[in-house]
Amino acid sequence: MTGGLPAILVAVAVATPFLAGILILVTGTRGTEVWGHIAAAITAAAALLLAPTVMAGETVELLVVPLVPGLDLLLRVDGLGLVFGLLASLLWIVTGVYSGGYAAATALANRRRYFAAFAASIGAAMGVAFAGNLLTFFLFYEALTLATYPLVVHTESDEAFNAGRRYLLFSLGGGLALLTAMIWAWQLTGTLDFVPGGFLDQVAGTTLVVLFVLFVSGVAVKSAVMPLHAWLPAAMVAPTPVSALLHAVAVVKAGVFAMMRVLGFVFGPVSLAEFAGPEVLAALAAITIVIGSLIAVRQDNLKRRLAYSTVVHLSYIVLGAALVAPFGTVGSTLHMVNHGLAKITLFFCAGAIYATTKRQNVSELTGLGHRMPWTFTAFTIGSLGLIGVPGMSGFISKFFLARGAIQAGDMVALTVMLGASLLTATYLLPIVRVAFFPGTKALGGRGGRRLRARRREARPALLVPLLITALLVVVFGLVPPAFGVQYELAADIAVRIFGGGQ
Amino acid sequence: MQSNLPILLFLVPFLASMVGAIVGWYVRHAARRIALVAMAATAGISILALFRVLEIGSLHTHMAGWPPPIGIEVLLDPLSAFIAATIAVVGLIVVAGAVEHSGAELPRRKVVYYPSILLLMSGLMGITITGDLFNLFVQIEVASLAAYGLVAAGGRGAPRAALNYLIIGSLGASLYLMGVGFIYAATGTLNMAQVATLLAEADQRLVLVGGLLMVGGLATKMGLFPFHVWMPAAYSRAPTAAAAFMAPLVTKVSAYALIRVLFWVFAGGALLVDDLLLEVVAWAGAAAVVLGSVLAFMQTDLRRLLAYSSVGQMGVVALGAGLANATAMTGAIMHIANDALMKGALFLAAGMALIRFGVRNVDELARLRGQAPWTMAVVVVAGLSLIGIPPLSGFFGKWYVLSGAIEEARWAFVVALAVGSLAAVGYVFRILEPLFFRPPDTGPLAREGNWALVVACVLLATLMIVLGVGNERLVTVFIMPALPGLVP
Amino acid sequence: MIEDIVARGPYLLFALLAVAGLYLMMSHRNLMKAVAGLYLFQTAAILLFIALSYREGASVPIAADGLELHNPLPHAMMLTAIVVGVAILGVAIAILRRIQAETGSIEEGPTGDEGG
Repeated sequence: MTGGLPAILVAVAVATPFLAGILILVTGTRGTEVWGHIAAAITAAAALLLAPTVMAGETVELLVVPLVPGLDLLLRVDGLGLVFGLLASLLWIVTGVYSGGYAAATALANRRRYFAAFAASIGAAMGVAFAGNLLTFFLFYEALTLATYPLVVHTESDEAFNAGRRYLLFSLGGGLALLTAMIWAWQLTGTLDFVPGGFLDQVAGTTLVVLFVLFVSGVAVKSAVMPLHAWLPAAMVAPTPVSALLHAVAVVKAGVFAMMRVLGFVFGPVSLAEFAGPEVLAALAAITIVIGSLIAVRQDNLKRRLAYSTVVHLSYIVLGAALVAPFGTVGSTLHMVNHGLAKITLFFCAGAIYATTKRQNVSELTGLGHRMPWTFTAFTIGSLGLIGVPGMSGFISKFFLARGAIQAGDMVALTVMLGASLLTATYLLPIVRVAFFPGTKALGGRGGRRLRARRREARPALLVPLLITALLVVVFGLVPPAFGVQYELAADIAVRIFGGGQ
Repeated sequence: MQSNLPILLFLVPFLASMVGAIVGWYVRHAARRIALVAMAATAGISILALFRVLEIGSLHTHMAGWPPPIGIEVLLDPLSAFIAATIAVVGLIVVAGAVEHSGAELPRRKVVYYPSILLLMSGLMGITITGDLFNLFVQIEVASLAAYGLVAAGGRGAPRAALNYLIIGSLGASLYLMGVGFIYAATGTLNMAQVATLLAEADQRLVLVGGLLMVGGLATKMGLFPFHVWMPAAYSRAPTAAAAFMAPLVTKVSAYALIRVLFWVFAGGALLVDDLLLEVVAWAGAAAVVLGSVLAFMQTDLRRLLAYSSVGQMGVVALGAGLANATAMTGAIMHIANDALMKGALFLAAGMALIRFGVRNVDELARLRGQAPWTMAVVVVAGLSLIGIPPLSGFFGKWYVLSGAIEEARWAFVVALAVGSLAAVGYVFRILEPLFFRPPDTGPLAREGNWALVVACVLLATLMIVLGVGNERLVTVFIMPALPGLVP
Repeated sequence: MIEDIVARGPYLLFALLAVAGLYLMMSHRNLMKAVAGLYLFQTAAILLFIALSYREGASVPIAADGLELHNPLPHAMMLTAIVVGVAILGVAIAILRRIQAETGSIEEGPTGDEGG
C-alpha cells in the first residue's frame, strides 16, 4: 500500500528523531531533553499506529526520492521492520528519561551533543527498520554508525578515542563489504528490493558463495559475531545509557536485524540450501556463544560482563536465523525483542548503580542489594529473563530457538543454546547472590550496619525506566499473546519467508 | 551548431583580468569588484550555455573564422559545458567566500591577486572549451602561469614551493607538447575530432609514444600519482585564498582534459594504444586512491592533508576513466564535480582556521571547537562526502566507479577503492576528532569567518547534499549526455 | 616513419636537448640551473615541431606560387610556444629572486617539505 496516512506515519517515524536532533543542536541548553521526549513520544506513536495496518497483512511503502536510475530511497514497513521499529522507538522513551536522570546524576558534559546524537541514532535505527531496499538500508546503516560515534567517544578520554576509532574501522569496513556485495547483487539481478524468500535465486555457484561472505561479513560487524566483535566491549567506555542504547536497542539490534534481512530477504531459504554458508555462519555463532560466555564469566567490570553477554545473545539470534528453519526465525525475531528488554534493564541497573554509588565492578557490589533493593530486584528479573527461566520473556524466545534447532535437525546448536543458558546463569546470578546475600561476615559487624543504615535508592528518573522494562520482561513472559504484537508478527515473518509455513 | 557563446567563457575572465590589472592600479578595491562581477558573469554564461547545449546540442566556434585544421575550434559539448558550469560556479563561490582571506594575507597585493585569479580562470575555461590539441597546451600554460604566481605570493616557503611547482608543471606541459608533436607527425592535424578519425590509419608507434607523453603531461597537471609531488607543498604554502581557488579547480580541469584526450582523441579506433593508455591510467588511479589517502592520513599539516586527499580523489577519477565503461565514466565525471565542491569548502574552512585561529596543524583544530559552528558543520558534510557516506554526493561518485570496477570484474580495483575509503575514514576523523571532541589548546580566541565565507561554505555543502539526494537527475540530465560515444 | 625521423639530424638534436635539460634539472642543487634545464627541455619540444615542418627540397613558407613550401603551421604554433616559454622563464626568475630574498641563497636547501 502506498500513500495515505500510513505512508505519512512512516515518514514521521523516520524523520522525527532527526528533526529532534537538529532542534536540540540549535536551541539552547534548556530544551535539550524536552525535544527528545516529545520526539520519542511522536515516533513511538507513529510506529504503534502503523501496527494495525501491518498486522492486517499490508505492506506500507513510501518512495522518498530516486537515488540512482532504477534505485530509490524507499521506505517500506513489513512485519520484521515493524518489530524492530517498535522496539527502538518504545525503548527510546524510557532510555530518554533514563538518560536525563543519568546526566543529572553524573553531571554529564556536552549534553546537547549527547542528546542530539542520541536522537539521530534512533532516527537511523528507524530508517534501518523501515528500509525497503538494500541501498536505503545501507544509507541508514552508515548513518547509524556515524550518529553513534559521538556517543562512543563522549567521555573524550584517550580510551574513548581508541574505542571510537576501532568502532569506526570495524563498522565502516563492514559497510564497504556490504556496499560491494550490494552493487554486485544489483548488477546480477537488477533489483535490491527486500523480498521475503530472497531475490538472489538466479545466482548460483561461486558467485553466490562470495556474495554470501561479503554480505554476512558486512552485517556481522554490528551483530558482533566473532571474530568481528572486538569493537563492542571496547565501546563500553561510553556513558551507561549509551551502552544501553548501543547494546540493547539500536546498533547491535540493527546488526542482527540486518542479518535476518540478508538471510531471509536477500538470500532466502532456497538459495541458502545450495551451499554450506549458513552452516558455517551457524558454527561461528555457536563458537561465539561458547567463547563469549566463558569470557563473560571472567569479567569483573560489570559493563564489560554485560557486553560479552550481549555478544553471546546476539549470536543466539544469528544462530536462530542461520538455522534457516521457520521456528528459528520466529525465535530470532522474538529474542531480538526479549533480549533487548532484558539487556536494557541490566544496563539501566548498572548505570543506576554507578550513578548512585560510583561502583562499576562486580566485586564491589557485595551487599548492595540491601541498599538499592528495587534496582537489584530489577537486575534479578533481567538476569532471569536473559537466562530464559519459564515465566520470563526470554524463555519463550529460547523455546522457539530450540524448536528451530530441532526443526533444522541441528543438535549441536541445540546443545550450545541450552548449555549457554546455564553459562548465562553462572555469570549473572552470582551478582544477584552477592548483592542480596553477602554472607554473615559482610552483614554482621560495623560494615553491615553501615550498609543497611545508608539505604539509598537511585533517583526516580533512573529507577522508573528500569522498573518499567523489568516489568515488561515479566509481562511478555507470563501473558505473551495478550500484550505482545511481536508474537503474531514473528509468526507472520516466518510464514512469508518460508512460504506456506509450518 | 555555430555559436559565439563558448568563446565568451574564456574571453570574459581574460578581458576582465587585463582591465582589472590596469584599473586596479589606479582605483583601490576596483580589482576585487571587477573580479567578482566577471566571475558572476562567467558563471551565468556557463549555466546558460549548459542548458543551451543540452537543449540544442554541441556549440562550435571557429576562432577568427578559420575552420580546422588550420583554425582553432572551440567546442562546447555536454561534457565541457558541464565541467565549465561546475568550474565557474565553484570558482565564483570560492572567490566570493575568500574575500577576507585575500584581504588578510595579501593586503597590498590585491591588485595582482584578483587579475591572477581571473587569468587562471580564463585558462581553465580555455582548457575546458578548446577542441584543439595545441591550443590546449597554450591554455594549460596560461592557467599554470597564473597558478605559479599565486602560489609564490604566499608566506614563508611559498616561493620555494612555487618554483618546485613551476619546474614539475612546466616539465609536464613540455611532455604534453612533445606528445602533441608526435601526434601531429602521425596525423598532420591538431584538431581533436580530426585526429580521432585519422589515428587508426596512422603509424601506431608514433601514436603510442605521443599518447604516453600526452597522458604523462596531463597526469602531472592533474596531480595523478606518481606525478603529484608538487601538490602538497604548493597548496599548503600558497596564500589560503589562492589555495582555496586552485585546489578545487586546477587539478579537476586537468582531469577533464585527460578524459577529453583519452576518449575524444585516442578512442578513435587506435584500439591497441587506447587500451594500453587506459590500463596505465587505471592503475595509476588505483595507486593514487590507496597511497593518496594513506599519505593524507599520515600528515599533520591540515592543508597538506587536504592536498593528499585530492591526490586520492583524483585517483578515483582516473580509475573511473581508465575502466572506461559507461558506469565508471559517470562516476569519474561526477567525482570531478564532487571533489571541486568538497575541496572548495574544506580549503575555505582551512584558510579561515589559519587566518582567524592560527591553525596550521590538524590537532590545533580544537581551537575552533564551539567557536565556529557553521564552519564545523560544513566540514562535517564535506568530510563525510569525502569518505563516501550516502546520501552525500561523494558517495555516488564512488558508487559508480565501484560499480564500473565490479562490472569489469576488476577485483584489484575494488580492493583499492575499499582501502582508499577506509584510509579516508582515518584522515577525515583526524580532522573531526579535534574539531568536535578534543579540548582546545591555547591559541587566539576568535570567532567564525565573516558572512561571505559562511555563506560560501554553506552553499558548497548544500550543493553536496543536493547533488547527492538529486543524484538520479544529475546523472540522467547532465552526465549521461556527456558520456563519450553519445556525442554527435 | 620512425626511420625517417631517425634519419634526420634535427630529431637527434631534439633528443640531445631534452636529455640535457632533464639532466640539468635533476642533477644540480642550484635552482637557477634547474630553471635553465627546464628551458632547454621546452626548447627541445619546440625543435621537434620545427623539424616536423621540414620538407625535403621545399622553400621557406613565404607566399610564392608553384613552389613546395615547408609546413607553416608548426612555425606559427611554435611562436606561441616560445612566447609561453619565455613567460614561464620570467615567472621562474622572479620567483628565484624571492627565494633569494627569503633564504639568501638559490641552492636547494634543507627546507624540508618540497618533496612528496
